[in-house]
Amino acid sequence: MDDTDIGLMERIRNGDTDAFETLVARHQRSVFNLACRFLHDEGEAEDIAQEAFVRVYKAAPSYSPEAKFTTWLYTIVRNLCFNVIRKRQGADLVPIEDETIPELPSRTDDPLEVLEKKQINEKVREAVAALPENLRMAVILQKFYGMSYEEIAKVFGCSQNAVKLRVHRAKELLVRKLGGFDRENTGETN
Amino acid sequence: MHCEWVKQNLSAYIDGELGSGLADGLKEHLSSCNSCSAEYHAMVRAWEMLDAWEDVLPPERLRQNILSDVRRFRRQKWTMMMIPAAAALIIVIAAFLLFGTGVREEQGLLAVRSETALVLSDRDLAEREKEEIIANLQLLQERDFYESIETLRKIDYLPLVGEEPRGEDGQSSSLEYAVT
Repeated sequence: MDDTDIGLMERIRNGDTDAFETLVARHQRSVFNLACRFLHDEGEAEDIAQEAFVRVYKAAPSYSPEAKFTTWLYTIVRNLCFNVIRKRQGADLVPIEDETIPELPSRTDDPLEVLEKKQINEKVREAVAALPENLRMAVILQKFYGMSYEEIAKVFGCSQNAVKLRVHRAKELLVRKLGGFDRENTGETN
Repeated sequence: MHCEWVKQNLSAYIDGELGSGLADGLKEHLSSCNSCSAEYHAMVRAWEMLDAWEDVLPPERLRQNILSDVRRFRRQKWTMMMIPAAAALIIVIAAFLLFGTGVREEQGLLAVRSETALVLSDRDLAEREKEEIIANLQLLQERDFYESIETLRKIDYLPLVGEEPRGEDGQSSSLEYAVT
């Protein structure tokens, strides 16, 4: 039995609900975290992830594997996330800092290290949240999902050169936001 | 390589998106340019800081909600498929009932019409005979007229009005009737 993503989609097209459950189990964490990192809101990220998988199921009859399954899946998530941003802008909503996100256990027990890590984590999240939406999504896909510029270009429906410029611009902004913080923490001077 | 080009391609270099020739040239430039090298290291540090942002576990209810939504969608899809089929079945049954009733009514009507036709035909016969007689009455009258004409033609002599008629022997005679 073909357990690749494309194989599972083929089985879903034939009405195999077990295949769909397998697909959800395999990708729900990455989809949830993509939405979470982009929207900076756990509740909305949950809604996005739920909607994304329902759309995957509904689209199964007409799904055609022209690219990697994850490229298609993250395109759906990206579109849903951008819709949320537009609604927020229309309603003048401000994303609420979510302090209840369950984090994975730390790899170290040193309280100072834990605190430092938490501070860095917060700073990083703020810096990424401050990026313009197109740059933010490009950074997240490249950094946390290891996607190539070509794959990111498919998600955005733009050229590779455009992706290259976005990622470069995003890194410059991150350097400005995080560069000073990093020097404070490490004691480096300019 | 110019510093401007190097700085614009630092990100692609870090991401491994430069071709090997360009990447080697950039690396060589960094080894000899302090400004570009400083910018490169700052970018690498900021990029690596993102590793501190770890994944979070999605809530268990997410999987349950997804499956629940999909089950609901499947039920709705099944209902939407069944509605036209049920409607078609209802139409067929209704048509059968109506059409079946209609056939019986039609047969009854034909029987009534046949009986009526029989009754009508008897009445029609008497009426037709009368109409024939009336239509032919004129012909009957004309027949009498033409018979009279034939009779007159056989008479050799016809006296004028007021004149005494003569018989066959030349003697006056009287006609039984006068023709005007």
